[in-house]
Amino acid sequence: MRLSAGIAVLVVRLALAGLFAFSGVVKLNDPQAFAFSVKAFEILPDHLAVLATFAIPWTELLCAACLLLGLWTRAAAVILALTLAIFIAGIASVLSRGLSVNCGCFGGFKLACTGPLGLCNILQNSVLLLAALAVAALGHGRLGIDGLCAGLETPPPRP
Amino acid sequence: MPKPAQVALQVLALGALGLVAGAAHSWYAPVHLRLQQPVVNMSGTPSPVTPPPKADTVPPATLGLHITLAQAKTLFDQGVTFIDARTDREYVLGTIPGSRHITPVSFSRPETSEVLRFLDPNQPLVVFCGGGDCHDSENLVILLQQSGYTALHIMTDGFPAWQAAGYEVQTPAPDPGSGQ
Repeated sequence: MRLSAGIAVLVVRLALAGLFAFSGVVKLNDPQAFAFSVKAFEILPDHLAVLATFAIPWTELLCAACLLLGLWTRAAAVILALTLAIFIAGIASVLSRGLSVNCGCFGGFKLACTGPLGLCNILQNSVLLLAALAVAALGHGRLGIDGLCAGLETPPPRP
Repeated sequence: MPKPAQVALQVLALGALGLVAGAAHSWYAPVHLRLQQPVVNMSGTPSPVTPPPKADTVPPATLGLHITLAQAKTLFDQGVTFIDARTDREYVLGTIPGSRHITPVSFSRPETSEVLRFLDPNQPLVVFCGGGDCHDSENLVILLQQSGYTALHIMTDGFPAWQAAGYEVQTPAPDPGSGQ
């Protein structure tokens, strides 16, 4: 991978790590509010909504840590891409049913969209999905534990 | 470059780890997750539009769930109890005089039960948080409704509007029995 491409992937990787770490911390800081958001989608039964209230932010945090360290980078990016795809499907479902639901994405903070869930949220998550897919496809880029491990596994060139 | 099978295994491992951590947290979480959206009162009587009755002539029983700053001030002057649902950090910087500090997160703690023992479920209570997008008031009202409190009001504009209006503000003494 060329240097510029590697740095670009690194920047995207770190941006995703920061964003999802923030998202996870905000959700875990106020699980009650996130539980209401999950429940408001009217997709999951109560017991699964409670599990999702905690499992989603913990998964986000784990993936953010992996992206930050460049460890299991592709796997972390794949999981975030899957999560974002599920979010997009959930939002589309909410919109198709005409529900008015506030986004619990970042707690009380808004990234790019304000007000109830709408097409803006689908667009926002699609951009993030593309970023996650790019990292999943290209790997860790510059700097990362994955790169160190790959270097250790590669036999040194013969003199 | 890792093999696809290796990545798939890592995906499964990370997903499982997130699930286990989430399940463990939900098992030990020190908060009650109440998922039922409020049915009673939550739609509330809309704020009066035409003609707006004078705030000081409106008895608490006729007010809706969401009340204006002026209506809240009237209730304050009548001695109605206020509940500050904001975080510790916000609360210690200043609050409405005499407010009790209860947050949705601290609701299940024993200290909160002690505070609630002194609040009559049939007397009006005004809950407020930071205004705007803050959900703490509504979350707390849901918890209070489920605990039997019937005359609840939310000061929609929150503490910033109270402060901006120049109404009385006090810096509370340290409150070990509540918070987030």
